[in-house]
Amino acid sequence: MEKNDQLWNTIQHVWNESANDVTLELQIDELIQELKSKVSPWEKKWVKSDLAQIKEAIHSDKERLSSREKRWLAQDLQWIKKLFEKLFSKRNKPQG
Amino acid sequence: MQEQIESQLKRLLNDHKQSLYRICKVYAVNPMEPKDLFQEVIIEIWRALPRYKEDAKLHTWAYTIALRVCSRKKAQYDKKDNLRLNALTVIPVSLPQEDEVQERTKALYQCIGHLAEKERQLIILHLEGLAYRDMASVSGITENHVAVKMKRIRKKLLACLTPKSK
Repeated sequence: MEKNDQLWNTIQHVWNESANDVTLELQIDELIQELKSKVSPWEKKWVKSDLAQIKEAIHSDKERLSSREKRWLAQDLQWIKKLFEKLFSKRNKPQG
Repeated sequence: MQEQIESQLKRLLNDHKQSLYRICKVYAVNPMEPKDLFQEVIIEIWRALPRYKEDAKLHTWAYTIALRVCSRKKAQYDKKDNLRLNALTVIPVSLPQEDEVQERTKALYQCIGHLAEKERQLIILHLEGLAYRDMASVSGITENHVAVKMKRIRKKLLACLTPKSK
């Protein structure tokens, strides 16, 4: 048992040291800028497709919805659109 | 919101980048480099951060994302493996001399690599210092079940790493 514990400690030590063969240099501020520029278009596409799905759902259920529900949904959509523009147009503005 | 996400990413990478890299190393199979997987993991964490709920510690949550990304990438690679030409072998002109530490590390990663996927994920989380309670919460099994599984995994790993006496 003691031998196993000793071996286990060695395993833990080897594991802890195992990433020491490389130096991970991360320029964190540059990385965040890069992530923003690379990932945003994907998010944009994703939010856009969500919006399109909502629109489609509303359209297909048009007959079933009361005029009040339609008005609420239209307001919600406007709000989402505004939020989307605020988030993404601000994020993608050129720096400096 | 955006500032919070950025500061979470900064904190995570400052404190846990080595751990995330170690996870990538386990799954990196030639020609996939740990660096490639590490990049994928960072991008996936960045994408998922707006949905982070703080019901798990940030690094615990990030490890599970890393495990998911790496496991998915490896599975994709394994599928492509059918197209590999076994008749082709590339032999380095001269093999670099490996010291004892490198050999031990290689053996450990190989043995972890031989475990089943679920076992591999549990041992990685354990070696990264997660408590059984946290491992249970992210793997969806009970704490007792984690303890039972870990006993079995430790035994397997020790057997794999201990040279068999004749």
